[in-house]
Amino acid sequence: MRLKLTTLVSLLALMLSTSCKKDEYVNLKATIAGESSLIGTVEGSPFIYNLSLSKELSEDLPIKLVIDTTETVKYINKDDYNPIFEYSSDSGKTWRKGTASSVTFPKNTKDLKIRLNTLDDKKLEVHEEFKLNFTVDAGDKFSISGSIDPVECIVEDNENNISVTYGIAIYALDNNNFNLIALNREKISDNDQKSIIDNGLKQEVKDDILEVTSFGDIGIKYLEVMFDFSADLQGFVRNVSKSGEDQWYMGLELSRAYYTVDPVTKMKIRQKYNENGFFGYVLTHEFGHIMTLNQAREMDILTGPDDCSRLYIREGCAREASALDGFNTAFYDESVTLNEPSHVTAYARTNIVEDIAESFAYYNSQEDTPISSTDSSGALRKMNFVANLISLNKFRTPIREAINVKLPSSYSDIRAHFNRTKDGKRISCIDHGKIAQAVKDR
Amino acid sequence: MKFLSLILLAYCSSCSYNLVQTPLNIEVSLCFGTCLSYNLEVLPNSTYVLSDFHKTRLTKGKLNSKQRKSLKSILTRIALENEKKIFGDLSIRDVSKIKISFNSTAVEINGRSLVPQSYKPLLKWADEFYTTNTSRVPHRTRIKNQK
Ligand SMILES: [Zn+2]
Repeated sequence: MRLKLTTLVSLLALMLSTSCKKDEYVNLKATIAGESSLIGTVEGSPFIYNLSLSKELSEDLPIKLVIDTTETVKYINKDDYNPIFEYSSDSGKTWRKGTASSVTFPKNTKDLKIRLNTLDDKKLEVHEEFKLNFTVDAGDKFSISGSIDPVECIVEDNENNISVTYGIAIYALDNNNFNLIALNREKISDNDQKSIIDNGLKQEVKDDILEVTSFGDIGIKYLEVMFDFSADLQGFVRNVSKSGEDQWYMGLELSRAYYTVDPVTKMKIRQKYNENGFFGYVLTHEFGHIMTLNQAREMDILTGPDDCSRLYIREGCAREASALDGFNTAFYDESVTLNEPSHVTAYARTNIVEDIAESFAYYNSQEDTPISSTDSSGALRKMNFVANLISLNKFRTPIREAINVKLPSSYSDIRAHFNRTKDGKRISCIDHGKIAQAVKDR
Repeated sequence: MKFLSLILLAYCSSCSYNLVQTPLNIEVSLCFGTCLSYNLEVLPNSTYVLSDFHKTRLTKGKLNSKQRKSLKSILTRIALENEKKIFGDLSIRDVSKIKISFNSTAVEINGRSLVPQSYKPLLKWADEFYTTNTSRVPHRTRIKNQK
């Protein structure tokens, strides 16, 4: 009986001392730290970020979280992640749900994992970025030193991608739809570019490209979109078919459709879509290539250089009565001398293919084409060649109805053939002052 | 014998002094836009001719020792003897086409974006050489030369 009483007293004493000890352990003071300032994940996998406290706290510590996209161009879209943060204090064995703006650092723990789940979609996207900002909600209760720096978070898209050589994205055209098939993630650095990828091309651009390229019934299969105002290249085109068909791939610089250079300040300024008609000029030039290089009516890839009795270029042998064959005979024969300016632009001097494409673009962009004579400049004669060739001139009205097409601001109209003074000296047909004088002198 | 050695020595040092064994030619064509375009020829003895793409001579002269040294160092690093390659699609229209040849190297690049890493320093050198030298050519001379 005595023994039993002693045991009971001892047990009571032990219980008392334990409970006393527990009451003494009230800690509301610690230093908090985060693991790094940059974390990344692949779309469909979660972000996991580790926090630590220098000492266990005796009460739950609320942590506020904010997804900040104000400073990043490649911000995360709302449908690419689950906004509810999760947390775990047992090294990720079990996870508890927080809210879209907070988690809890549970009492009596020193390590916390915070998880944000990203969603795996089937959409080709840019790699997305955001900043995760932390605030320790210490209130009056806690004394928490240390801080957690904002964390840069990057979500890599996991869709298959192919390389884009010049621009930011490639679209495959199918039944008037522009399907994104590739993007150049490294080149996407501003909001205009990001907007194209996120929201697609603007309807006005799609309408103009589809309408202009559909004239002539050949169309384009692919469009590479460039959007860099400082870039030199404005467009390109190539036939990607290997078997003698027409599968045209067109590249277009779109930034010049939305921005221009202020003539006074020389600064980049925004304009209404294609207000100055420059983009229309570029599109017309590229369309001119398709209309003069297509396999359907103009070129024959199956006839080799040895069997070609007409003009032979990379796209093949010019067919009889093709635009390029006629242009070659009219202007590239050794016996032909052309008065200056012999070409509509400096770029037209590159080769016969550019010469006819520029003459086509000029003919469509200039308000009218004065009738030429043998005395006229080569440039005016080439515009007249286009004006008189039904396979090319038939596009002028539909193009001009479809899109605003104007000569680039640095180009002058190519006017009539008054290219001699009354003394018989030649006047360049873009020298408007001397032409005006010559007209007066007549 | 001494005389022969001296001749040999002189001959060998002249070999190593040569910038290239055959002229270095860099042709950069116009693009549909505002790309740089020029033809640069540098002879083994470091004299050069810089022309516009239509072969109108803009300027000629001899590389100074600094230019020669930097070019030699770039060419040595290319070290791709017998490389005869075409980069990019020949049928693409409107991009700048670049041809580079020296010694037994001859490459053709269809589009600036496709310039291989090993040729980038050479093209950068040539671009800078062109812009520096053409800005030194008085405008009036250029207009006159362009007939
Ligand atoms: Zn072109």
